[in-house]
Order: sequence, then structure tokens, then C-alpha cells
Amino acid sequence: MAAVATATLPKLEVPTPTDGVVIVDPSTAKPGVVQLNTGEFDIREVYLTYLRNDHDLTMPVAAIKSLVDLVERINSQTTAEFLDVLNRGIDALKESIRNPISLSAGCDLFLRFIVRFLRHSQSMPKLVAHLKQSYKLFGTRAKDSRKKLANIGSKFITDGCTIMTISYSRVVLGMMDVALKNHIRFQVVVTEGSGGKRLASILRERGVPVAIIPEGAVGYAMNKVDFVLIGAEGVVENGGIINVLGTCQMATLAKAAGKSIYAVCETHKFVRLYPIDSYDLPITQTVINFSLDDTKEQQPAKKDTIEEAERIGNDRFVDFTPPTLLTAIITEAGVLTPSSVSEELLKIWF
Amino acid sequence: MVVADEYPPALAKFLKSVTSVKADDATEILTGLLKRREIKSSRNVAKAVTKLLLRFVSQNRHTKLSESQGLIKDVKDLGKTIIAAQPRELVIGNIVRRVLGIIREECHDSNPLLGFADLPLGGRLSRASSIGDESADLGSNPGSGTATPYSGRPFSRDGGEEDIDAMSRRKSKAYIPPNPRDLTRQGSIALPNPNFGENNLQHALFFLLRLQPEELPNDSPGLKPQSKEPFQDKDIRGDVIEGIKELMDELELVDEQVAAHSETHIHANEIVMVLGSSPTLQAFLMKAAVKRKFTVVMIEAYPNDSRATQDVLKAPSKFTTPTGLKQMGKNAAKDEPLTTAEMKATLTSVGVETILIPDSAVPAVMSRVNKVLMGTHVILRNGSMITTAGARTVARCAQEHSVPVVVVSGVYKLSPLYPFDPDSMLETGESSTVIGWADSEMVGNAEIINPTMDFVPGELVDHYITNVGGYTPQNLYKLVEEQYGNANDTLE
Repeated sequence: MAAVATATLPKLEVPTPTDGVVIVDPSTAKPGVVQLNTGEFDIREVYLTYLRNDHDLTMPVAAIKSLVDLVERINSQTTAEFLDVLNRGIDALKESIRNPISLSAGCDLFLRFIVRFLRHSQSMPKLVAHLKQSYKLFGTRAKDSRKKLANIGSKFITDGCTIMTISYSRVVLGMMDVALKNHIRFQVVVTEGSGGKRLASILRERGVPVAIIPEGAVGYAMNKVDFVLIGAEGVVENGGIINVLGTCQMATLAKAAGKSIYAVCETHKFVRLYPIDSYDLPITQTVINFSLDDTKEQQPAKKDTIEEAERIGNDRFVDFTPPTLLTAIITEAGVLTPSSVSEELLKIWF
Repeated sequence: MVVADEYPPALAKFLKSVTSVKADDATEILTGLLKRREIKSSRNVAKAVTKLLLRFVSQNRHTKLSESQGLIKDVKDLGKTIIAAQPRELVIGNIVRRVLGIIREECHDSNPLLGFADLPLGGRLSRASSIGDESADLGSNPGSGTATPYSGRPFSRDGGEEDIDAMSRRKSKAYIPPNPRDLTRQGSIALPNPNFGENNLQHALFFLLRLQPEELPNDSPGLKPQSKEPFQDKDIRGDVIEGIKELMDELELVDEQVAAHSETHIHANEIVMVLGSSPTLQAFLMKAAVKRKFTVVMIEAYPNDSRATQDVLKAPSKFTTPTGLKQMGKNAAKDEPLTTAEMKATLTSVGVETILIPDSAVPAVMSRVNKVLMGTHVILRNGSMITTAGARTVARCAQEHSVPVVVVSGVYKLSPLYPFDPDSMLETGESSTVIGWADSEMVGNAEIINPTMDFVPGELVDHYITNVGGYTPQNLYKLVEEQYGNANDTLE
């Protein structure tokens, strides 16, 4: 199962040097493998294993866990060497996953934490000891955040409201769960692609009336909903969000109809990117393909392989929703305006 | 008509009686007055609540630093009682939170480790959620009432993050941690508490990776200095009372402080549309009139505010009351002086061309207007506000004409709450102000509704002018953090 899943993921293209000298760099020979002086470390495999084993684990947390594994294997006494290996590990991981946006949030956070830790005269052995100790906590802390977030966000769901959402998102589902526990009655409109059907069947099982609509009907259905609630794969530095393809369109239509658009996201998904539009993301997506040949018609996003894809390679297209379209971003740190997220993020990194 | 009395009779009576009765009785009187809506405007409610809290703190049995938890709990309970009497007056919660902040600040000054003992472990994390965050409330430390100051866990929480990040920030900002009292109190405006070095978003971000309190390294800089100092259980009541008195002064000075910004916002020969009759607004216009020649277009605000609006036009403005005079006099020494005649004057007599228009004429006049000025009832953390009915129409119309909407308000009106359900915060007044009961024919044939409040979303407001400076709606969250710190007090 695991082998099949990894086989379907695209291989990293290693650029061949053109100047005649063939550089055999062992670190790029296999995607996701870091060379350590103690041996090889396949960070990609570790990362994917984490995601496969725990379905509740988010990509940034899995990335952090894999990096901790890497840190434990680093046998170095100098900070420079330590950071160098860590950076190589991060690069190897990012390069070996097709859409590394979400996981890079975890990597950046981890690197930032380590720099802060070391800067304040904490020694390396202490760092490793701390990481080993709190290793198990990452998962539970991340789940705590999600719970807290659900509690805050569920206040938006009022009795009798109709919510529009896109795809399957754990945080959105978590919020709805809390609302259900509080005996709030609501209904949901969800687009069919990218796990929407999965969300629908889960909600229906819990007694929530759900309408599944095709992506083309978002504008048609918009006037019948009270607000739009969307998960986010990442929140970027300008306060916009990166999420499954179709989010931007849904937000644009919601804005035009005067509906509120709330993005829901844990703070560990804040990414260090500043994209201007969807084409500015550091990933290649073949969404638009011009062709004169009928037979070579490109299939758009692969549907409903999502359950697997979302967890491991996130083999789905994403788009960027600009901050101007969002009413608020709901995080475990409270309900924030996109501009405040932007300002705080910039403050942290610079 | 001369406005002789500064306060409505109910408030004047309360303010007089509060010093002579027990705090419990005073609480009962105030809840009664609030329930009957005998004290109404944000300012008056704020004054009454501050006065009551002053009385309450000075009579409370908890005076020592070690008893601060008890004091905080008592103030919270009192706050809950008053808020329950009038849940729509969000300003009550603001004042109670400010006083809680004062108490914590005193604790922090006396003993930096103790200051935030009453916060739950994740307190800062969830603060922004503010409205009834049950999870945080439930999780709030179990022994808050009973814990002795040095019992260990509750107040050493997150020391790790504090020493790593806050220290660096202090260094970078040249922040001087010891004896911050002189620093943090400038003209009764609460500056960020030194302990708030890391705001809640940053806290949340690194929450995943941070140190556990128990695994703090022994040589961590945050813990070092305190362990050497012997614990002194000093009396904090005096300082807390001092702090509350400063808050009262702030409420008195608010108009003048806001008005100080008027020159930069009202320019020569501008046409300013004004909605509302709030004293802050009047002071703002009067101050602007000293240096500027401009035109005011007053909106009638029928039915609830029309009388007050007319009074502003024909009578001396309310800020020329004895206290107002005194303050302006004080100000006159360093600034452009206002003569007594000017202060007693109406807008017209100080050279402001004044036009009164009915509400229905707002869209027609809007294209000629340079700016819309309004007061507010309460400002919410996301930049939206709750204000006089009709304001949303005016703001929407202004947006359509790309006319900036500027709101003047004291910072005490800024609530740290998030409007999850704005409609529930609005009020409906008596319908007889629209159609008198004498008009029995109408009464039988139509339902008459008189909403007194409007919810104006942040997108419709361009700028808030407060006594601590100007803020855009998007940046208000920073002001919230400054005013209330990172404490998450669930009072509602």
C-alpha cells in the first residue's frame, strides 16, 4: 500500500549540468534523502510514514516531526554545521514533495524556533533534549489547537444558518462538530470535488442536511447561504490563503453577493510566502493547457484520490485567495483580520 | 437653553451617593439604574462603573499582594453582575477589564512572577476569542483562589517563552523592565505591560514547540532576578485605587484629548457632515473652529437624537460645562486660547457655517461633502462599531461617494469582544418617539418600530480618532492588545 502510494507521486527532476562536468551529488541522487556523516536519512519516507500512520496529523506537524528525527541523527558540535544539515534536510523534503507549501510552514516554524532557542545561549544538547522530550507533545498540542479553534469558530454557526464550504477540511468539520454538540441546527452546501462528498457523507451521518453542488453552481447557490466557511492549506504573509482549487472563485462570488468569508486555519499553517496571485506560488500546476489536439485533453484535478493525496503528497491543485476577499481568519489565537495576520507574520520573520 | 447640569439626574445622584453607602448597596443601586435605562450613554455608564469599582476596591477585604487573586476574582464577579444587568452596554465590560488590568499591573510591578498567575495556561492563546470562551474559562487554573503566591506552577507558566522572546524584544526596544510604573502610566493611558512582550498570535505560533514550564533551564534569564529577592507582601490597594482614579481622569479628559486631533482632520473651507450630538463630537468641532473656517452639515437624526442635535445647534455646547471650562482653560495655557465667549458660543457664532438637514437628504447632499464625522456607542475589536440608528445608511452612502468616514471616540469605548452575532447587540426603543400615542389612528394601523442602534461594519469606516491617536479599523486589534493586554477575562 505504502509502496504504491509513493510510486504514484511524481519524481523529482534532477537538473543535468550542461558544462560537461558530471557532478555526482549523492544528496540529489534520490529525492528526499539527506546525507549525514552517520549515514543516509530518507526524510521524505519518514514524513510520508508519519502522515500515513496518523490520519489526524497535519502536514506541517508531520514535517516538524520528521525534522526532529533528523536532528536526533545529526552528530555535530558546531551550530553552523547543525544548521547546515537541518537546512539540507528541509530542502530535500521540500523538493521531494510536489506541493510543499503546507509542510514548509512547519519547516520554517521549526527552523525559526531553533534559531531563537540557540540564540539565547541554550546549548545544542539542551535543544536536542528538549525536542526529544516534547516530541510526543507535538501531535497532541496540534490537536489541542484544533479543538480550541473549533470552540472559537463554532460561535459563527448560529441556529438555522446555511453554510457553504469547499472540499473536506478537518478544522471546518471540527467547528461543525462543536456546533452540533451545542445542539445548533444548520445545513451545509458543499462543492462535490476534492473530498466534498466525503464531508457530505460524514455530516449526513451526524444528521446535518447537506447539499452537494457542482463547482459551476457556486454562484447559483450563493444567495441561499448565510456565509462561507473554508479551510486553508496555508495562510501567507499578506493575509491571503492557499487552498484547494476553486476557493478563490467561491470567495469572489461570496464577496460579490455580500456574504462573509471566513477562513479557518491553525497558526502552524502560516507560511512564509508573499504571493501576488495564484501563478506566483512556488509550485508548478498544469491547470491551464492550450491544445489543438482533442485526444490530449488534460484531465483537471484528480478527483477523490483526495483521501490519500491530501494526507501524503497532496496531489491536488491549489489556488490563492487574496486577503481582500476574506472577512476574517479564524485561528486558535482568535478571530483575526487578514491584515493583522499579515502584520504579525511579518513581525515574526523579520 | 443652557445646559447647566453635566450629568443626568440619575447619574448625578448615584455619583453622589456611592461614596456614602456600602459597595454592595451601591452595586444594587447601579444595576437598578442600568436595568431601567436611567443611565444610558457610554460615557455616563463608564463613569458610574468606574466610581463603583473605586468604592468596591477600597472596601474589599483583599488588600495585600498575596491576596490579589481574591481581589481579581471579586472584581470579576462584580463585573459579571453589572454586565448581567445590562448586557448590551459593552462599555461596562471594558471598564471592568481595564480595572483588572490595573490590578494585574500592580501585581506585576510588585512581583513580576505573580502578575499573571490568574491566567490559565493557555490564557494568552485564547484571549482574542474573548466572547465567552468557555474552554479557556474552564481551563482557568483550578486553584486561582487558593494558590499561595509561591506554590509554583501557575505563575511560572511559559516562563521559557517569556525569557526567550520577551527578553530579546525588550532589548531591541530598549525596554527597561524594572520599576515599569513610571513608564507604563503616561497620562493614564495604559502602555503595553512588559509581560505582554509576545502577543497572542506569536504565542500561538510557537506553542507547538515551546518549552514546558517544568523543563525550564535553571539558568534561564527570566527566573533569575526574582529568586534572589525576598518576597514582600506589600499592600497594593493604594496603587490600584490610584490607577482607577487615573482611569476616571481619563474619562474626564477624553474629549479634550480627542479634540486635539481636530486640526489635522478638518481643513479650511471643508464641508463636514456630522451625525450625532455626542460631547466628544462637539468638542472636536469647537476645537477645529478655533483655527479653521469650515461648514458643518448636521444630520437631524430623527427620531431618537433629533432633540439633542437641535440643542447642540441652539445652545452652548455641553463641553462648556464648569469642568469643561476648567479643562479648556488648562489647555489654553499651552495652546491657542479659547475665549470664554467662544466657549459659550454655538457653532454658528464661532464662525462655523451650520446647515441642518433631514435624514432623507443625506444621499442628496453627500456629493458635496468632504468628510463624514460621527460619534459612536461602542467600537468592536474587528473595526466595526455600534452607534446611533441611521449611521450605517450614512456610512454606506459616504462609501458610495468615496467620502471618508471618520469616527471620534474615547478609547474606553473600544471593546475587546468580537461580534459573532451583531444583531443581538442592537436595541429597539419606544415607538412613541416615532408616532405619538395621541395619533391613535396610526397606532391601530401600522406596526411602528424604532431601532435605536446600528451596526456599522469596519469596511464602512475609514478612520477612528481616539484619545490615544488615530487608528484604521484594520489596526484596532493592536489598540485592543495595548489596552487590555493578553488577559482573557470572560465576563459575559
